[in-house]
Amino acid sequence: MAVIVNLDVMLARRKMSLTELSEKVGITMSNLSILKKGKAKAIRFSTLSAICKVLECQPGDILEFQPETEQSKKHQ
Amino acid sequence: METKKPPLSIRIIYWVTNVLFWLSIVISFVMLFDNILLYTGIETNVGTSLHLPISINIQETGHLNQHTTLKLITYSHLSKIVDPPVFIAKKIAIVILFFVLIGIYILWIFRKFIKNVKQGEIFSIHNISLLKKISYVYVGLWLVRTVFAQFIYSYFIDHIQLDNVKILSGGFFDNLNIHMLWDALIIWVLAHIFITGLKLQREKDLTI
Repeated sequence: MAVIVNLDVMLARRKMSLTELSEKVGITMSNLSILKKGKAKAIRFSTLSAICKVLECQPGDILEFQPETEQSKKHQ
Repeated sequence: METKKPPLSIRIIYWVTNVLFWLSIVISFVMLFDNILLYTGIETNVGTSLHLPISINIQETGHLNQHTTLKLITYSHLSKIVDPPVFIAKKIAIVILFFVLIGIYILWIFRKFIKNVKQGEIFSIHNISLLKKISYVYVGLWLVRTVFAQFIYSYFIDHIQLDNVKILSGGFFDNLNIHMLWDALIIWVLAHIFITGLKLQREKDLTI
């Protein structure tokens, strides 16, 4: 995937668990897990805002663009 | 978790389908019973009638008043044999039973589909396969019906001698039953709409 979700990195920096984030943001654990694993197809602005607010960061800290290589295309 | 009540239209369709389904089951049992009686020779007069895929020329002249006469012609595509002999009645009964069983099968699949929709499972692979199955069975039924009609037509053209009337039509193109193919096509298109729906549903589910 071209856009990578660095949610686990931000959670580690803030020393926060996924359960805690789930409670504070108001999103189910399963949905946050989908987002963390990079399986999500899209993210709502409202969700992104809520996560950024709780983690005190910018959207760019959570999302990162990486150009697709031939190898990553084969993996998909 | 709160379960959403299905809309009234879905509930009505569900109950109508259920009633039709069980009614068809009863009809098929009655027909099966009739077949048994017919084949065991207990009953000979089953009151069966055979619709022939043949239209015949029956012309009549009517009088509107003293000066005006009207020419009338039958405008029905199908002719009918009433009280056929036992050896024909046996064959008719088997064929009708076959069509009723196929009808029940289609209703059974449709009932499963409507049940899923009623339970909130709309865009799913299961529903898509059910819809596709209905359309394929329809095409099969159309094929069997067309071949059967053609067979009946050819058989009667070769074997029946009509004294007073002339056979007008009833050939291959008259017995094509295009409406059945239309039905199959519409259901098949519906299945493909459901495929798109499923893709959108999955995308929605994976939007966080």
